[in-house]
Amino acid sequence: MIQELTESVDQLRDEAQAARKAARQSADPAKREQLFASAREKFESAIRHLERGLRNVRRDQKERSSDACAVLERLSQTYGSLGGTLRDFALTKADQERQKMLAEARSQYEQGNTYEDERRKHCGALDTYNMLQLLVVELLGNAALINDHEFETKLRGVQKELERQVNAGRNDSWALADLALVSFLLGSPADHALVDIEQRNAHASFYEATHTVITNLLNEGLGGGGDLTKHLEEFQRLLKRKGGLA
Amino acid sequence: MVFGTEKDRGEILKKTVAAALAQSGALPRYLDLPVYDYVRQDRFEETAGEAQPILLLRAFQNYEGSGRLNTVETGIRKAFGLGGDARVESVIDQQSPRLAGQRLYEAIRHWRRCVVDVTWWRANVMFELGVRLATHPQGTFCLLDETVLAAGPVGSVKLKEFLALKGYNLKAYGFEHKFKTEAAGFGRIHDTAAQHFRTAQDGYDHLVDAELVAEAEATQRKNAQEQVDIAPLYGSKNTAFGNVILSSALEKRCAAWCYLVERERPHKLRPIDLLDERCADSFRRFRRLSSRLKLDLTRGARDDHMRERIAEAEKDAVGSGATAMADLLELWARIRATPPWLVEPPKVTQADCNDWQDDADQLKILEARLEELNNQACQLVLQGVRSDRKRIEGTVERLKGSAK
Repeated sequence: MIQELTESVDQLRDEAQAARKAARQSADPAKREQLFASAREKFESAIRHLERGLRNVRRDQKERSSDACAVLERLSQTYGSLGGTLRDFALTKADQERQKMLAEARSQYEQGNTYEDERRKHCGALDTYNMLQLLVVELLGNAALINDHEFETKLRGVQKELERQVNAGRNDSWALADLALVSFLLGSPADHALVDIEQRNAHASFYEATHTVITNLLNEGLGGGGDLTKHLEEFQRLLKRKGGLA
Repeated sequence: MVFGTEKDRGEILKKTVAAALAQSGALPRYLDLPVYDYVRQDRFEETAGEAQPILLLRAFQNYEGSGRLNTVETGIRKAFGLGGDARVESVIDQQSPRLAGQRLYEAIRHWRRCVVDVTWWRANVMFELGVRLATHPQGTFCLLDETVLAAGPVGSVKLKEFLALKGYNLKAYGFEHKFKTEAAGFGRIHDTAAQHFRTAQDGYDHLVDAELVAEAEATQRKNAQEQVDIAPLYGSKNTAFGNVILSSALEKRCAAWCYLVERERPHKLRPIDLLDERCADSFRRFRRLSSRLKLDLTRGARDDHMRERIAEAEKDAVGSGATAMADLLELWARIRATPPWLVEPPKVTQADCNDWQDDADQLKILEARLEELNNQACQLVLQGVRSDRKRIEGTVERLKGSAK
């Protein structure tokens, strides 16, 4: 049952990502709107299937099982993808509409992080995607947070968790990118992570997704032309070159 | 491996065998069954005719020190009417850079003449004899020195008769007169294996598109969006190599899609065709592959053409109503996999009741679609859908008040 569920959900997620990608590339505002709506609908449909699957698994199995962890993995990731879609969409809007959509994106990342946290604690998962994106989307809504002490504490929390995971053996491209970004946001260089990203090769979706996040932060004027801006621009150039992005 | 109770032992063994069979079916390079793989290889050394050596399968311990090897080899040459320079070889006599197992089982399957000395009834010799009989219909002769302690009492009379054992001992030289006839039953083993062999075991009836997709997936695990690193050795560290791997995976998926669309034409299936499980499976593969390709294809003339073909095919499938029908039939299959009416009432939540009510509503739509088709082939399915819908509605009605 779990295999069928994950296969059908993966299909929905692929379709949603394809629509999201097409929306980002579309120059026609009406078409873009339609594609974003389609991506959102498909991610939401995938989430409905997964949450139902999780209820079924939990009803049938007393203890947390590998089945539950498999569903939780897809759930946290799909919430993350939905958050990212809403964030992309928000940045095509202005003023109140933009803030409203960023708040929606934040809410998806929060829910994603709740599931992600459960995976970290009970499934041994090494993942920080929602945890960091939650802070990124807050920054996109209010760039001044970069100087806020409480926000810095949250960033340090993510950094600590990332370092714990890397020490536990995590070595994927997402971890390197997250480490680089969180270091930059905390005002530190991330030479080691950048060299590692430079030396390896990943699927195009990694470069596209990470490049989008960095570009969004730069477009919001983060860093005000100082060291942070320079670090982010350097990272952006690397991702663009490695990913062969236009 | 440390086993617990006898029941545990059985379960562990069962799971291990099931996992081995699953991996053997899924991974082309699965090697926990090396002999299974070796005997499927074509011959590497083309030597044939009289120049081809005679294969001697035997125990290794106690064989060479007593002059037995010389006696047996000489006897074999005489038995086949060959000169003193004819080669009688065991695997350790060969000089080759290839793995001993590869050489041995190539010889077992392909060499015309094979003599098996079963003296001491060693398990490895009996295994090799079994492989020989299953893979080569003739040219096998068995020897036994009954003067050796433990040679006689082991092995039933029937087995000895079946093997048509040629007795010998070190004091009597030569046994050529005993090599004129082969055991009558040997050929039957090969014939029976050939007749009853399941072709699925060797992957000849795999779906071509599914094989291509499986090869493409070897570069990356299935969860494509999160697991972005390239799996093959050096692929992630060498950009040029990694790009070749990624490009190869994309081309394999394109090839799989083109094959599926050209040969099975899933986009042209009518809603009623999807009641046939083979068609439904073909349609499912078409949709999954299309979704994945839309995500992987980039810009450029080649990819644009492919993207247009996918869009046209998907449009056909939506236009005919097949896509909507497939979704409804998949939902029905999911319901049947975990029927609401079998859930223990204390475990039912309000959210479950809401989901099940949605399911019942969807089944109503499926019923209407099936009725519209107005075809005899739908009647049985329609009855099943209607019955399940009523059971769900009954369950919801019964539990909605008490659900948590």
